[in-house]
Amino acid sequence: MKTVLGYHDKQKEYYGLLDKTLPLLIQERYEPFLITTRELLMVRTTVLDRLSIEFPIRHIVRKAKNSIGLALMIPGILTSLIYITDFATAIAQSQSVSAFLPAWLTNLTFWLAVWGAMILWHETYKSITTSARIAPSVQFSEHDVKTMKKGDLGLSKRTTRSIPDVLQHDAYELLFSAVKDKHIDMHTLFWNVINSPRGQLILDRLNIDPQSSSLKKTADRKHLPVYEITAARSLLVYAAQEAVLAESPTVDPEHLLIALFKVFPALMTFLQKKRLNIELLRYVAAWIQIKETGVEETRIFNPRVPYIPTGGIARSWIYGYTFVLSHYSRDLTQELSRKGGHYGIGHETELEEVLSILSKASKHNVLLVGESGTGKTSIAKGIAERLNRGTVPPAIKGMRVIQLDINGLIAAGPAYGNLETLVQQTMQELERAGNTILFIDEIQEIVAVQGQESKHSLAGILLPYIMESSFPIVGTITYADYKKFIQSRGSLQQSFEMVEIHEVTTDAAFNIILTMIESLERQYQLKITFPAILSAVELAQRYVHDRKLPDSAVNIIEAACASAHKDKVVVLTERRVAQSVSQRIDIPVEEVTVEEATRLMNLETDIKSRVIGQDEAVHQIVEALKRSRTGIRDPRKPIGSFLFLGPTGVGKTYLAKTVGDVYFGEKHELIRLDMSEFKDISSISRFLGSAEDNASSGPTTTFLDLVQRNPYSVVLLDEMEKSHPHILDLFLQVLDEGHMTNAKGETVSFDNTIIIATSNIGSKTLLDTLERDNALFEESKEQVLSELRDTIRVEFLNRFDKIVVFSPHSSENLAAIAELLLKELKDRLKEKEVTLDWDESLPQAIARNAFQPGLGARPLRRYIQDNIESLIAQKLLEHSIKPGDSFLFQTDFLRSASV
Amino acid sequence: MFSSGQTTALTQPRRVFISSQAVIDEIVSFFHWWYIEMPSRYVGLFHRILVISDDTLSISLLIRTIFVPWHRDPSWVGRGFGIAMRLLYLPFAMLLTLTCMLILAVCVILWAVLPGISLIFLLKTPFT
Repeated sequence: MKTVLGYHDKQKEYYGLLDKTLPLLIQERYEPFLITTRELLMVRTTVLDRLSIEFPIRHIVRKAKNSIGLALMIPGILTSLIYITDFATAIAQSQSVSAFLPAWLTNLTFWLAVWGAMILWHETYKSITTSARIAPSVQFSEHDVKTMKKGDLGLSKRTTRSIPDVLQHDAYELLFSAVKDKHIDMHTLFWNVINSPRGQLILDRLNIDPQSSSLKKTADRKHLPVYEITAARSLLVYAAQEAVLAESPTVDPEHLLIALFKVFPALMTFLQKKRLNIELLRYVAAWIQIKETGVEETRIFNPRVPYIPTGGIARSWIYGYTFVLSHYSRDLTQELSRKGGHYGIGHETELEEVLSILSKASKHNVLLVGESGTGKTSIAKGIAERLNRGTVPPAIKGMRVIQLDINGLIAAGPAYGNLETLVQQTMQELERAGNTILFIDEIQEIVAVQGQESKHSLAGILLPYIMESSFPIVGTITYADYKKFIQSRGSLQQSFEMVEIHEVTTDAAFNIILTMIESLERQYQLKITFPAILSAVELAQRYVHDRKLPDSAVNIIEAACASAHKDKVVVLTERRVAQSVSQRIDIPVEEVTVEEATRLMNLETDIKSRVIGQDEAVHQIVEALKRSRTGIRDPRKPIGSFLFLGPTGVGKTYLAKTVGDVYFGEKHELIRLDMSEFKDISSISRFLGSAEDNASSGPTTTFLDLVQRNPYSVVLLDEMEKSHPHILDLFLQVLDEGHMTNAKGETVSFDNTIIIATSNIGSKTLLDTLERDNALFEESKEQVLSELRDTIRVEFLNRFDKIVVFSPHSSENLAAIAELLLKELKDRLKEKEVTLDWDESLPQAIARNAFQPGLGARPLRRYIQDNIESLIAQKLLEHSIKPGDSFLFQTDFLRSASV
Repeated sequence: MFSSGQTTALTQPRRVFISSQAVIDEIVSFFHWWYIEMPSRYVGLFHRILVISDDTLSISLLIRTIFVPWHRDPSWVGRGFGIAMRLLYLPFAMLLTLTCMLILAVCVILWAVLPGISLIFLLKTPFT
């Protein structure tokens, strides 16, 4: 928390805090204020009143001053042009133009122009500076927060600052243009700010059209009325809060705009309808401020901007040559000083840790360990960036970062006799240079490479230099490779200080993409809205598990830009980003459209038309899919987890397959595990893999590999009661937290899977009961569940979203299933241009003839194969049925077929 | 710290007063800016240019490391060349810095006298 809003009740001499609600305090007795760690910001009513009275007059005086300045300058400019022409004609030796002008006139216009320039310069200076600046604020300490909550706001300890003194010139003009006769017209103020350049910039980045009828309707005089001028105090205090949060030294028009959105409920509702919020507005305001700060930092002649000495043109004179090394390396510090950019965002703590290790006198080698895409290389570039800016400990000031090109070094080895000689030469150069930090990306590669003569690995050749620590080394490596290549080599491990690099937060990923906005917009010739960036980060976190943030989010935004550019789209919106992600992963991730909403609402009917007689199971699964698709479910768990019980052939597996087809599409795989193959605990390696790939047999595909490759699928665990109990235990974490860790330490996410386990526990009970009486099904269900709890551990069963008992098929169900199977056959024959029809009684006849107790619907398929398909096949071969014919299969044919 | 909240009404005399106050404020503000604010910025600028010049031309750095061998070559050639290069280079660098300072000083002097000179010339012009 960097700011605290409060108010002073002058009548009761009471100080209160404004927490969630932000009212416009119109009554004079209530005076709002803002506290930061260093200042108390407020507005006196007398000041506001005076400024509002003086503003129109001073505005006219300033305009007159500008006009006078211009009026004085223009003749002078003309005179200068004449003299320039004079010079040109003198060269051409033709008649001088200035000969026609009297000398006193040219002198007069010249000196008047000088005064005009001085006046305009003064006016420009005043318009870009303020008499005061807001002091930067930091987070309040816990002690401060506790003290404030007890009532001691510490007002006297802080510098009092009048907010009008820190109002930026444009914001000042916009505010007081809306003030008249001691009243402030919020409608005028809002539209003034919206139509200002800063306001336009914010709306542009949020993809809001200022001319839209919805905005005009929302921001009308009814919702933005006229208030007494005392209301402006609250508005200014809230705007000052936004300025502090954006780390701006002045209150700018965009802060006024955010304050207006915060105060008026109608404007807030407008934002919510556009799926926007105040946080996004703040991001844009902060981005504007970062850009301005970035521009200001380039003004090195401005005494206010800190200047960091870098050593100058002769810096390299005091360091050694690196002739050979320069051929097999890149100077990152030099590259980044040309290219610019911000690196290491989201890893500030790790970067500070790395810099402090590098500045140690000894043992100053660093190994950055983390998953791919978490930003390890960005940290190395961040070191180079900080060296360029000089914001590093004194011990490493003036140094440079050189990235070693391992492949180039290896390829050049023979040219120098052998690799060992080349490496020794480069290392000696590095020792002599004295100003170099060596960066080796993917340092595990030096372990694998061997020298020709010594047969030592490159790491072995480098080891003496690494251990001596004559120059700092920074390496990057993943966890898996660290375990494989470094941990087993004690001397190598001890030569480095390990710094773990974790995935950045979504905020940091957002900020990283912000730094790339301008280059992406230039490259793809489009404009990127902030909701699009937010969408990319959120979708990356939710749906992309094979890469980490920020890499996954950057990848999504770049892919979306490329796709938009291809389709000649000029504005990248969040919808476009979602579409791009949907196309990539083949799963709908965009907001639910009207058509899809209708489809989702009819989903249950659709599935029931394909899966006969298991209405309860279908209902439960469809509810889970609806929760998932509308974004309501817990994103850290699987979409749904179900346990299906029932005898064979009742549709458990078929329902799993149908759900996969309907939700993920027919291209997506059903990952099916026959759990009877995992009776032995040694089969656990088929789930998790092994830490080392077996060189002789090659890598094998495990269950987790399948899920990793198909993260959007139905995982079917068939006959789960037949597996070893410890194998089932692996799924406890999956069902609870949506992930499993393989033998290599990689986490595989199950967030976008539907897990369906099936079991035949209780099947006999169900069949026996139903043979006696169908009406006893509910009672038999209870028995089945009881048997289940006796067989499988309760903590495992408890983690399923739903346990569903499938009922054996009735004869009506079997007839309906027969009808479905006949329709499938009809579709297959359509491809052969043969139209199949059947009489009404055929499905019932099939159900009757094919029924075998306890075997469910499977006999129906076999019966149709043997009795209908075979007959049709025979007739096709005999040409009694030809393409284009219609064939009516009558029930009587069944008797002749079976004969 | 907090106000009593009294306000005043805008009458015609007050309007005239505020207008003349605004004109006077602009004139005073101009001369305050010209002779106080900007010169103090020039002092800061003077110092900044000195720092940048010293850093860019590596003057202090080379003086501090005058005996460091050329590119850390520890031989007599490296040592001799290092000193020779510094002794040849430093006078030129210092001369360049001094020239920049002189130009800036001239600009500051011009800045100070410009309003006066321009007024004098403006007043003299009808008589020339």
